[in-house]
Amino acid sequence: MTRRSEAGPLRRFLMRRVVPALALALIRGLDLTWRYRETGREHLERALASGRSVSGAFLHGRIFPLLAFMARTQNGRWISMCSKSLDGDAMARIEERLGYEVVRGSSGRDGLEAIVDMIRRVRERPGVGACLAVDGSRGPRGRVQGGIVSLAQRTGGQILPVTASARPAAILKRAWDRTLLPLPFARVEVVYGEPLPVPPRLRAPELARLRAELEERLVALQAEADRRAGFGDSEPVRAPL
Amino acid sequence: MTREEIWTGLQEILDESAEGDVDWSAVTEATEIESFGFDSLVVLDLIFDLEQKFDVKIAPAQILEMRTLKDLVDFLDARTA
Repeated sequence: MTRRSEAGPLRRFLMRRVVPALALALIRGLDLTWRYRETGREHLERALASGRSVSGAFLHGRIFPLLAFMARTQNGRWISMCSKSLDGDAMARIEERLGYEVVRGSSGRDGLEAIVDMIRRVRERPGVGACLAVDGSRGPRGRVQGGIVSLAQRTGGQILPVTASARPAAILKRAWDRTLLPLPFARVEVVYGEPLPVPPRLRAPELARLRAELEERLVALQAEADRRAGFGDSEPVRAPL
Repeated sequence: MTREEIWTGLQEILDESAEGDVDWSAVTEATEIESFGFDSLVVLDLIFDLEQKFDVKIAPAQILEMRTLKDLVDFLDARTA
């Protein structure tokens, strides 16, 4: 991740203007060739129809197969979060162009500001959901952080786990999240899990239990998506601690 | 809203947010907020509990810059006056 202050003007220009335009064209082009298949769509539809906002939870490494698909209008309207880094600038521009509303922040004080911003925006606009890469933006891979539970507590009280896999696909092996990139004409498997109810008030042990349960569900869901796609990663979903 | 009312409202919120029972006989306005053992998720609870009870919007940075309960009471006193 590149901090804005460390980047020169050329790199800033590339990351803010050139990279988002190229990446967007690539994602849109690939999206036209991908064949999506959904499993558990009834969970998404029931959550959207509940009248309560949905907190969508996914693992960072599977963002690319989900990005264009979840932006389709029949899949709801979403607020997402991108870090304040230069890479985050590029990602935020891509997501905004795809139709997401983006808040900025990732961890520490920035992350807290971003979650508060997200909660306020969701509360002001019923029907809009919020989605988070729950192990992001820097991992450890597959380890769910607490923000998603707080988000759901303060908004619609439900977390919808979702993931995707694809074949043929490539893994960016040097990336902390082992980013999955479906190749042209891939079959993309999108799998939704049953929504996890979240009460408005939680003590620390209950919050930890919910976080662990969500993590287990996402790990199982990703295994199911990989199995359906016929894709296998050589590394486990969860990075060893 | 008087300072006493703010203090009472704050006690109710902190009783909910803090882990374990708070011994209020030992707590004064000079007590440091840190002593309640808040992590960022509890700060988040605090922000929205304060918003609900006192109808004030507080940015995380404002809470994190406060040192004692007096800072928080002063802030709420100014906003609810």
